[in-house]
Amino acid sequence: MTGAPGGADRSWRSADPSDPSAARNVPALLLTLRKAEFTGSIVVASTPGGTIHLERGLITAIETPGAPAVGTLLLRSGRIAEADWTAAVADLPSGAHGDLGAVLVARGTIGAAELETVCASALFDAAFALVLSRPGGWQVAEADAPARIALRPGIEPRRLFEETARRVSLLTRLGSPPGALARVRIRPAGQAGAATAGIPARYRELLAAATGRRTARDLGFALGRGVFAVMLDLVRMDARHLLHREPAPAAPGGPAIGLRTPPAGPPPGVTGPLPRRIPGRRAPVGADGTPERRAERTGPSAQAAPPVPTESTWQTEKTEKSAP
Amino acid sequence: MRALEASLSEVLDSPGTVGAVVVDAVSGLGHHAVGEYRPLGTGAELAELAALIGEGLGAAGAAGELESLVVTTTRHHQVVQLVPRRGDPLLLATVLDRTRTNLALAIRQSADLAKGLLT
Repeated sequence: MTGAPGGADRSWRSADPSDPSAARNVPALLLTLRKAEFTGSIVVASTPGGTIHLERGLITAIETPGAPAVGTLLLRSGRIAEADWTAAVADLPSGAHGDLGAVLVARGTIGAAELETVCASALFDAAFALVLSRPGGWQVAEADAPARIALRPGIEPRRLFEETARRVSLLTRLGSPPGALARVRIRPAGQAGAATAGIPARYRELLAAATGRRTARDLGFALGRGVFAVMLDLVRMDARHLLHREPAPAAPGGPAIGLRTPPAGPPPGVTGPLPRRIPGRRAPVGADGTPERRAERTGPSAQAAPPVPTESTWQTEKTEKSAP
Repeated sequence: MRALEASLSEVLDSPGTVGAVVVDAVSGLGHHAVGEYRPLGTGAELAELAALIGEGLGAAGAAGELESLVVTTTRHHQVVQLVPRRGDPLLLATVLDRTRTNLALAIRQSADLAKGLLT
């Protein structure tokens, strides 16, 4: 799975075998495979990566951990009940790799037209998620099983590129480049509760699901909605001051927990090592054993002194961290 | 997109309708288009328009959610109908020839078509 040219050595066969290895990136590869009317899949090894399914060079499905799949969209949104889904999977004529979409339609669980729109939404959303991930190598696999739920006939590669570029540029134009937005954790702004009267139901659902630990992708998975659609809603909600954004981690791919908002106002004034609490003493002491400057204050003025300016903020953080 | 194509062809059969599109109401993804649909603009433009008006209504204190929009030009009526579903809604937008259309009937017809669109 390393290096683009490595893709050619896995069961590749076409009129011009030099083409796929010459592809500079996945879009170029897709165009080459469209010309060759290739059927099979491309396994993209970036983070999170994914699998692009092709039939006669047209893209029929994209599976990636970066965006909810058709099943997630249908189940998490409540469109299809878990029991109906399980029953359809059990009904698959040819084992685990049968055409699950056809079974769902045949059982009357969902209409064919609606399933097509969900498949297309999932496909374009997955492409958007792939573009947000860091590029990596890829492999072309001709023998892979087709996706269980696919859009047929598939999408032309050029259409996919245009739509994906539109999505990235729209978010960028609205002031939230998706690469950065993808790493932001969302929670409702303080005043959002009071302002929910005049906002669409979709925004209210997002506010309820935004816990401060979820990114746009997490919200998409939780609600059964596309990551791009969630991002677009978040940007619009942000413009109405409904959201609070937790800043992104310093480096992409860094620790899973985002940096917290730095406290507003002046820092507490501790420059040395953190104060320690010693059993039997009422006030915390510095690392050298001397009482803390703030703790030295006594009398009514100290008791009346306001708490550290961001106490409420930290309180919120603590609650969030201890939540299951 | 065979099933959706068939559904939209039925929409095109209704009197006065010269073009129709189905787009995602949030992402603006164009799912399918038939006939003379260009006056409607792109899927992204339709979704943006619907979002702008939907949000504006709420902000102005209107109760309830947006259901349809009508744009009238000297030649056409354009009816944009929200197609509610579990998950993000769709928009069914139609272009109607003004000389052959009764607007009140067209709006009712559009709502009926939206109900049957996804079955």
